[in-house]
Amino acid sequence: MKDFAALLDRLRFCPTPAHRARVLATGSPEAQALLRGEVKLRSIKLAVLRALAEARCDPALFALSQEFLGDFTETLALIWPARATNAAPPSLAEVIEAQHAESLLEGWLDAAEPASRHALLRLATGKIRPIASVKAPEGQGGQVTAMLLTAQSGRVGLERLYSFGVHDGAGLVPIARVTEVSAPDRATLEAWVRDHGGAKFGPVREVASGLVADIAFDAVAHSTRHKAGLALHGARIAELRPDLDRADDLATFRTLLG
Amino acid sequence: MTHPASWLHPRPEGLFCAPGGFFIDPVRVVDRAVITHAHSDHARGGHKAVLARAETAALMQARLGRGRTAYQTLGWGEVLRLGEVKIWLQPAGHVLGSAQVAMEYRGQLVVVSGDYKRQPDRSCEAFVPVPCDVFVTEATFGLPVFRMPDPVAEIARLTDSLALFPERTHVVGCYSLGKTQRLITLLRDAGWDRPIHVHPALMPMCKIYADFGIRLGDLRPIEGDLAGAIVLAPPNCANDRWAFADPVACLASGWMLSARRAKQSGAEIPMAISDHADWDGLLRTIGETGAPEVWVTHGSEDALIHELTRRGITGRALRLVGYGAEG
Repeated sequence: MKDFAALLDRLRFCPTPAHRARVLATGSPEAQALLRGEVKLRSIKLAVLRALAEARCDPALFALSQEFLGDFTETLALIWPARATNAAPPSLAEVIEAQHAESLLEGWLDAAEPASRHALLRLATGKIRPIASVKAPEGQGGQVTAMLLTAQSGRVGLERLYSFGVHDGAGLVPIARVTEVSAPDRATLEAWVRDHGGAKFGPVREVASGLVADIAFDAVAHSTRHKAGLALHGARIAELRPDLDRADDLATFRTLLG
Repeated sequence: MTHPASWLHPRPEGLFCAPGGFFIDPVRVVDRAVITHAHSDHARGGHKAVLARAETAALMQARLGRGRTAYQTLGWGEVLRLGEVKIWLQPAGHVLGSAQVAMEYRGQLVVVSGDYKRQPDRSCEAFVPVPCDVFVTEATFGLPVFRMPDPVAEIARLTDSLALFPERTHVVGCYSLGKTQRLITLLRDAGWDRPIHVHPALMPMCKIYADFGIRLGDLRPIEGDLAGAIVLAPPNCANDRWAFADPVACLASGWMLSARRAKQSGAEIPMAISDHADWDGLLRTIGETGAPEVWVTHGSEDALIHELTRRGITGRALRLVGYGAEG
């Protein structure tokens, strides 16, 4: 469980899918399977955890702590007054095997140290965003390296919409649409559209591929309406990458998202 | 016997010992100041006379310049009479030279902890508990959710990442006095014997540590090939992308225990390494002083006083203002 907690911590703020893939590869087979969404865990009801908190923690201290941290699960994991026990903390395999049997949870919490308790409770409440579920890890969302595909003029002629794509086989498939762009980035994008603009379909102008950017996003969801099979929410340009001439592969990106 | 509340008062300038005629860590300019340690919120410039450890005096002068302040230094446990008060210093384990101030007046002994911690730290003298009638404590991490992990394990997260991403520069945000040097000693003890690159703002304090015999190894400016290197920089600089290719931003602070704070920091590796006592450290220390009465200077005093009351200890919040919450 300790290794799994450490893996979650390391993955949590990893900046790009490529970085996350390298970190994920260091995890145990169970951890990798779980984070890819190949293993499902039953969730424990919040009421069960609340009852545990009431039974074991001073209510005033709990309230002050939760007020500070702003999260019940985190508070319970960190405040937990562990009773001395000879039991070893559970391994991730054991937790998966037991499917979070409620009767085991209290003993597990006593045996684990705070970081593992937090991981355990996040598992118990279904709060692991895993790289593998439909949502990107909470926090900074994620990043994907993508290629400029089209530029579209807005209705008022001022607002521009840029679409970016990732490699899928021999071609590129759209993955993100970005509207808000910083002034310097916008100048670079417009220069590219001017110099490498291609066919125009109504307001949409295709551009030659070659301009690469890191696209940050808040969340990602499966979508049947998009060609890539997923939709990015809150997509924006993190950084233009003139040093790159290739975007991420859809397959790699998908593996990371499940 | 005279109860300490009648001779040791919180004032806008700071905690004032009336029969001794001095302030402890005053936040405004005063005639006579006793300084627990050299962090800027405790050690302001411009006082007429300062009493402190030699290390603290050296660190203060490096930061503030010599000015017109007259410095007097004390050895550990060396007793001095100021007015009608006997005063001496004992190690607080917070940063180099950090001291608790012990004061005895009319049969009552009060100890002001300053900032302190109980975790082992090779870069400063370890905390020594002093049995007393009133213990005046900080409570930066005065909530039961604050239990610091083993710093060796936190450092291992950094070195593991260096092994996994040997091409990325790992930039660690840390305060110039204390945290920087503790990280360096932790890294050295973990076997990191390569040069550590240090931002120019952190270098003067490192030099004073070295002058006082704390071995920090090979420290270099931020230049040359930095792939797979460790760079230490002030927290506000650590998130700058600088000139590093694909850097790993790290931050060493006790506040990184909070997921929300960790997220806000923007660090890829938030490390919960603190120079303050955590919840267990506060309670253990208060127990060891045997003090029936505890005053809390700053921090999360509500939870701590609640717990002390439960344990039959009288708690009092001084609510001293002006002390930062650097973790």
